[in-house]
Amino acid sequence: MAAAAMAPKLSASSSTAKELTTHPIVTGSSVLAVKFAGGVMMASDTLASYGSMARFPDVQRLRQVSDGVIIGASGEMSDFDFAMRLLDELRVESECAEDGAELDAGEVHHYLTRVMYNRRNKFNPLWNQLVVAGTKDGKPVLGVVDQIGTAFEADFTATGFGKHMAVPQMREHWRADMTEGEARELLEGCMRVLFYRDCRTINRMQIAKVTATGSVVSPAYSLDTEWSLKSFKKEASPEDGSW
Amino acid sequence: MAAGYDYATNVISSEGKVYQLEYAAKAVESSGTTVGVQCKDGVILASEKLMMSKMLVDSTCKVVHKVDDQIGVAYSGIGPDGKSIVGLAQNIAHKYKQNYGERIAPGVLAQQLGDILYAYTSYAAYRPFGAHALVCGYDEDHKESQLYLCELDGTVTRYWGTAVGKGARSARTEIQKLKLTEKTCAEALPLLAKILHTVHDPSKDKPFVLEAGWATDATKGTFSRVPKDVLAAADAEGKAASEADGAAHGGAAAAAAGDA
Amino acid sequence: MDSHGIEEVPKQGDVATGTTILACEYRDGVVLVADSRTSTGSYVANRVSDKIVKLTDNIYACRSGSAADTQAVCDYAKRFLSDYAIQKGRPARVSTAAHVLSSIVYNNKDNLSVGLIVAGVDDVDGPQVYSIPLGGTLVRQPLAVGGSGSVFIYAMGDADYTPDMDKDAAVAFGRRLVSHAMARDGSSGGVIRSVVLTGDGAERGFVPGSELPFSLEGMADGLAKAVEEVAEHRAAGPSSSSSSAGAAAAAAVASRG
Repeated sequence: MAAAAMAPKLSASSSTAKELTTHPIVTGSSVLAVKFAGGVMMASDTLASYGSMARFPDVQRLRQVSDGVIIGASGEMSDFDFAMRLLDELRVESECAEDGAELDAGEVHHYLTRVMYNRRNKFNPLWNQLVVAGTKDGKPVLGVVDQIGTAFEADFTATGFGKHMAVPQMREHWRADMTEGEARELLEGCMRVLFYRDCRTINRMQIAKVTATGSVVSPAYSLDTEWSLKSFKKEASPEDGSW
Repeated sequence: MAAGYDYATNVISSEGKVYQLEYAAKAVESSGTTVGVQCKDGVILASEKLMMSKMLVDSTCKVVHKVDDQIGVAYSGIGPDGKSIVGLAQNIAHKYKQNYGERIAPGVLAQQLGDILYAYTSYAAYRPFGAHALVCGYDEDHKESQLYLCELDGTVTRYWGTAVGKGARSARTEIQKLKLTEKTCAEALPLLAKILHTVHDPSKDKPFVLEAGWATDATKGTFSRVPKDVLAAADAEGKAASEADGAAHGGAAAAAAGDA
Repeated sequence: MDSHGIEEVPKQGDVATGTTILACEYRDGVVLVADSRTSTGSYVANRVSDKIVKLTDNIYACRSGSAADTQAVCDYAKRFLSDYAIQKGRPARVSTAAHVLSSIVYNNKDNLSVGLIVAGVDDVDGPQVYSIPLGGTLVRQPLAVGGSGSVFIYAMGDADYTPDMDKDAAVAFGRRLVSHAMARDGSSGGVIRSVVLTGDGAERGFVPGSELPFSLEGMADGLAKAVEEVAEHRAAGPSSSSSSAGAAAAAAVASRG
């Protein structure tokens, strides 16, 4: 804290090297997304952390880019805002062309891969893992791109802590012909586990859905959680080797 | 007369004129008419786009342009100069949004555009633009759509309704008669089409395509091109009304239109 | 690095406003509150500094981080906002001011150590508070706290803040929180300055360092007295009346503001 901040700092900034690579400051944790029959569904909580502090509990990390495209972000929130501004500029430019063309999810994803890769080549990355959901030619699209420009499409994906904790569940339960309800159940199951086991999560999430007919982002809501298992209630005893 | 006073924009003649600007204005006076009006529920830009060849595709060389969500610009004059002005306007709107995180008001955009047009009249290395621009859009402060005229000399003025181009003079008189501030955009569009058909002289002028865009309450202040079917209907209605007038009064231009 | 693993003080020897700042919306406006300590390392460079800066008549900001950086950033913002007012013929709105500041911080994040809270009132969106932490992220909040002392008072804010307070309650609330942070944060201290904005001008407030709602020394005195009396009470045996010890304990609690 304050006292710690007073300690002399011995790092790159005291050398003559120019420090360009930033580090994330206000960050969001996992974003989860799965394809289902006819669309893509995405989930994230509404927390923006400041280091280990749960600082901003009401930040939208799933955002609608257009009727058919939704983006979710992990990582630095100011960089996410910046990326969203770029996409809005692109939208205005495209609308001013008045050719009736609109970017689909595949194109938005590809554009973001170029932005992210470009910035990392300038050693000044946008510190995010972005998940793009939407449709292209009527088919669901789910794309990912991270701060070093790694990009791919997938049937299901998770960023941040979810990469470790949600992907195994998705591997087990995901099917291409999942219904919307099953997809939601899978995502909420993963979000619940993340709430239990990710220190950078709160139990306040949003879910978003894109189908050929359009997209919606839900209002924020909380999941039911389980804390009353018998073994939980039992008093901890050193003989059991309890923590 | 000009007598050497007309070679540069940085010289004012003994009569107090900058001849280069007057010549530039001639370019506007010989190009298609563009009208703009503020109505009860929005603002419209409509243009008589002269087609230099019968082989030109209707949608080519647009003169009415969208510049930002809520703003449109139309021009009369030298085509490439007009397009360049549209590019400048888009730039202004873009920069404003970057700086302040909100949309630019049409009045502010018109002022800044005027500043650039003016700058082009006062440096020896530049020539003035050969086009006037009409700027229209939704002003979120005043909750209304507004119309501005940016002239090539840098003058910026706000109008309830005005016109530039070949038929500007008579178009302005007609607009004044119509009291369009009491009408809706939908009602005004065919009347504007009629004006453009009336000032158009098919015996002398190249054929034209009607172009129009508007920012209305119905479009929530968003500037958009008038839908094709609506425009075609207004065009037909305007043309018929113009011809009917011509037949009744035997007006030269309208009579010629009837012959064509 | 602070306890969250995020650097508040980037360069050694910087004059930094190791700070406690706060702003919140209340029923009729916003209130901004700040301590007045500016330090270089552990030396108090200025004990009566003013960290609440005027951006426009109805928009103020609280500064934290490097004193030089925050002054420069706010000076730029002031100029942009006055240009804006001339161009538009009306003063800027709070959201506009917040955007201008956040883009300056965001676009220069590698070279700046700036944490701001922007608060104000405008005729379109009413009272608003925006938080702009280190990297330039822009977040609107009903209550925002910032600076090195803020970590000590987050929980108080979470527990006690409501947006329906009246002016006096809001100012008292803000001062109470800041005084607690000043007590526990070595980098915060001095006097408490406050600004209340209702849409027609600002009202400044001042609490001298000798009259803070809460101080560690006051608490320590009260606590020592109470502990002593409880001990006496215990010594007197279980049957004795507890009224005098209870009163001392209550007084000790009351001294905590």
